[in-house]
Amino acid sequence: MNDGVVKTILVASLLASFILLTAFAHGIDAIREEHSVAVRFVYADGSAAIGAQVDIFAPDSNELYVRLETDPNGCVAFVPDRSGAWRLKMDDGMGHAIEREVMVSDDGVASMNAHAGSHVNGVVAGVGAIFGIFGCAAWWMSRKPNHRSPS
Amino acid sequence: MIGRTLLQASLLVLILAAHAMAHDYWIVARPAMVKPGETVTIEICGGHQFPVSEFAVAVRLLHKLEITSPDGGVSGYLPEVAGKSLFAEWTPDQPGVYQIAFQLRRPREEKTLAFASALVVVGGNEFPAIRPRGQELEVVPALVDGKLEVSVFSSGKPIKADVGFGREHVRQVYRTAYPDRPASFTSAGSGLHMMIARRGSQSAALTIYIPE
Repeated sequence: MNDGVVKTILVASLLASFILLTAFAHGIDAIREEHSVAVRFVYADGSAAIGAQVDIFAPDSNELYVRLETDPNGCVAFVPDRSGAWRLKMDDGMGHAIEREVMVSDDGVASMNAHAGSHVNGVVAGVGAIFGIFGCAAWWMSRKPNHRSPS
Repeated sequence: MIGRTLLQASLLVLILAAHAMAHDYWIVARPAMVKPGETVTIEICGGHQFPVSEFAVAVRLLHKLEITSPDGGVSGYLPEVAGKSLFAEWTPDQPGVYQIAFQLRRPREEKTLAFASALVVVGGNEFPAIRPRGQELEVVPALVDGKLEVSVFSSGKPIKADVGFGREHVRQVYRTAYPDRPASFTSAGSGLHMMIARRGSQSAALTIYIPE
């Protein structure tokens, strides 16, 4: 094989490699992540906290891991890259804020204590509901005589 | 009799609980009566006890902070967080009634959660008269025979709604405004007053200075 043919093959190979690399640079894929953590934020009345800001901190770290915004259902999702207690600080920017911990085990299983942290407004609503149930019972008792048949 | 008392107490607790859950949003403009060229401090507040702000509203939720001048001109402002409220300074240059207003909206939502405004009288000391601006919810006051009459409007039409009214540091009183009959209040004295109407998750507040 003479030098001219070798050079031509070499140039063609380099050109093919360049085209191939360019094609790869535009390639992208989506992979379903198995070990994601999704958390839903709701107000005391059950409505979703939409558009709230959620700061996520990795275990034993005060450095912000990621800042997310709740979706139209009040949810955020992230993928923990280590086990431990992940802190989620939610602030809706309108006076409602809450902090929760998500425990991630070594095998990637997440759990959250439903009663961790506190939400002053939620507590107030709870008290109101208890009194509301009590009030309904009192109303029912007070109206009983009116339902007796006249004798 | 005991049952009725318990019922009334329970209803009161429910109302208080519902009120505690909802935050109010308002504007404090000081001074609210100035001469042209004097600087006014605008404070955007959130909380339960007018006029003390309990938290700073997130700037990202402020759809607009606008000042409408007596000639109808509108200018936009960007407030800054300062402690538990948002602040801006502004200097009016012409006499008349200015209306400072903001809307609170969640990201990517068209619905206004709160509309709050404050009136500033420049170069006078008369009661500030305004007309509805066509907001989703707004309160419009008028001074009639020494009494404050407050109407609630939705998209320019008068509606039935409960209205809270109170002077600064004084507990609010509530009355109902009807389409054909405004809620009537008597002021306990001069000073900064706030009136607020709520409808579902929406609220509209207006602060005004009532002179002697």
